[in-house]
Amino acid sequence: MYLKGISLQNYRNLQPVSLGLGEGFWLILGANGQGKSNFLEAISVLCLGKARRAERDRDLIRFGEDFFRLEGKFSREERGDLESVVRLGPDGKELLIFGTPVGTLAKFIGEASCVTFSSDDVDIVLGEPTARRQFMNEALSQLSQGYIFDLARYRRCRDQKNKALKDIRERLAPVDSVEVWDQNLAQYGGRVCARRARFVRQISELSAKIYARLSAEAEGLQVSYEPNVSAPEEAPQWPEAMLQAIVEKRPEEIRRGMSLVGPQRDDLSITLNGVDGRGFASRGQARTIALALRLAQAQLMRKQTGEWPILLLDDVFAELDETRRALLSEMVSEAGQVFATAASEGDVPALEQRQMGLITLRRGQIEVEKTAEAAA
Amino acid sequence: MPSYFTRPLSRLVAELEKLPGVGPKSAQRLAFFILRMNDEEAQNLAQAIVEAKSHVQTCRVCFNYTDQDICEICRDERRDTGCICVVADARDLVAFERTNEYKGRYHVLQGVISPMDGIGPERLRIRELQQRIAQAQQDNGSGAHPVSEIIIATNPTIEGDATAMYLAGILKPLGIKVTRIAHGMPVGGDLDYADQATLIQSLEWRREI
Ligand SMILES: Nc1ncnc2c1ncn2[C@@H]1O[C@H](COP(=O)(O)OP(=O)(O)OP(=O)(O)O)[C@@H](O)[C@H]1O
Ligand SMILES: [Mg+2]
Ligand SMILES: [Zn+2]
Repeated sequence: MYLKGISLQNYRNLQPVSLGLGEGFWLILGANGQGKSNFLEAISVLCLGKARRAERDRDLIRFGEDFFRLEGKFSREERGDLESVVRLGPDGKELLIFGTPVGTLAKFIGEASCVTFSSDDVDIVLGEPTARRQFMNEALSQLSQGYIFDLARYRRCRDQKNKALKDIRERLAPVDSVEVWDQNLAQYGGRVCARRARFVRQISELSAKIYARLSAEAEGLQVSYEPNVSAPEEAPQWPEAMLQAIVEKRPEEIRRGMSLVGPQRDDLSITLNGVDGRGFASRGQARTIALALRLAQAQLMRKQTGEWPILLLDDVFAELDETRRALLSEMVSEAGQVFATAASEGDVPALEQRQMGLITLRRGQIEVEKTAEAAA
Repeated sequence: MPSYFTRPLSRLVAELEKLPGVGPKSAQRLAFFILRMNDEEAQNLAQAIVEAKSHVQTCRVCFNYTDQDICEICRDERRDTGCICVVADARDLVAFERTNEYKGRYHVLQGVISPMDGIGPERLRIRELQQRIAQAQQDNGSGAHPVSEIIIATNPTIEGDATAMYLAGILKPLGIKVTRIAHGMPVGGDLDYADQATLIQSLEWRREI
């Protein structure tokens, strides 16, 4: 999959522009603070329908304006071309596919797909469990519409149940009023966990292989799912296992006035040669693990959708030594389209430079200096 | 709010703005539209509002809207008193009536359970449903239970499901068959918008809970 063209209006510090793009490897050059990351972010918003992190969508609007609009034209192998628009204005957000509004985020996301690699990815290894859950959510929501739907329902149900538990603790409602939420909580929560379990199994195998190639020391990377409920043998048993855990915890939930069972308490375990990497890996190790996880995510998306997502590499090369740079650029060379930012040309592997497209960024002004030649 | 309108006009805008789904812009548009109406049209609109408000009440039995003490459906002898379809909202009842398929009675809950909105079961017409069932049994004397089935037709939302669960919990111990309509309908959809074919199907495929 690749982006054929993009138009931006009032997006962050970027000047309004319409660009023609194409397959291949694109280098985005510019000094600090010129808008390189913002440009990559705009592409990811066109794929995800929203900002990647906990950021509010409003923050994406250029300071002093009241709307932004992004339009992308994509070429896809399996599903044909795509035109999509994300617009956020005073009266809310509009998501359009071929000019037609799609009602929900679940129907928009996954039409075009991308994987962002950035220096923040070390948080997946060194940060709090939230960062690891976010990694799973971002990957899975692009892989399955059902996941987004189940997660949204799960959250709604959990919020209702938490309020019910609070009311019980304050003696505003009878103790048995909590039970009506549990069936759905276990149903949707169980489905979220079943999908996460399968995803982590797949990603674990892929990332171990990639990590072995990237790390000279041949350390063994192992990633596994750490659910908050003891995992059942078979995926369809998840809802039942979760319901059982909920019932067991009910007295404690009532005492503490909050829901204690479910995917909001999941984590990923990450070990190197059997030693816990979470919080303990060196910065260099953490960077390589994160890179392996992102590459594994991209490979998995390729496997399941039959098509490479667009790869967005934000200052990734600059952080790597010569050998790993070469390895990374080899691994991403299969993808249909790669955008890589750098502050100087010396930060990108030389072997790519001949066919590479070049985009420069100066104070939000985007210029295509040279188009990319698609790899033969 | 600084007003560029003369007082009666800004009052009209302010009142219209209180309606659901009507923002400041649409309120202005509606107000200007009303001003362009001829006198008779405007009178009709005003009277319709006043009359609806003073004559429409909820049915003493099922809580559907009616202009009488007991609604037409509850008074219709040809309709099966043994089957009660429980809906969240009077609009859902209208959706079922449009299908012309259902020949039983209704009970309108006037909402769904939602702790986040401060709505517990006691805020809904559930006690009235229990009383209605008990009354029917009393009137019937010693025979089989006069209410043979209760169909729960709340929307397939998280709150609709929880309400159905709650109702099943209190009705099943009474030995009444409790069913829930099947949801062949669009995910997250409202009964209100479901097309008739889907509704007919979902009635047919209702299952016991
Ligand atoms: N909503 C917004 N409106 C206008 N400008 C914004 C907005 N959000 C961020 N910016 C500006 O965008 C600039 C940052 O751009 P960006 O992060 O893309 O830079 P960069 O080229 O990636 O820099 P670096 O090389 O340091 O990573 C900042 O100067 C910031 O003030
Ligand atoms: Mg940057
Ligand atoms: Zn009635």
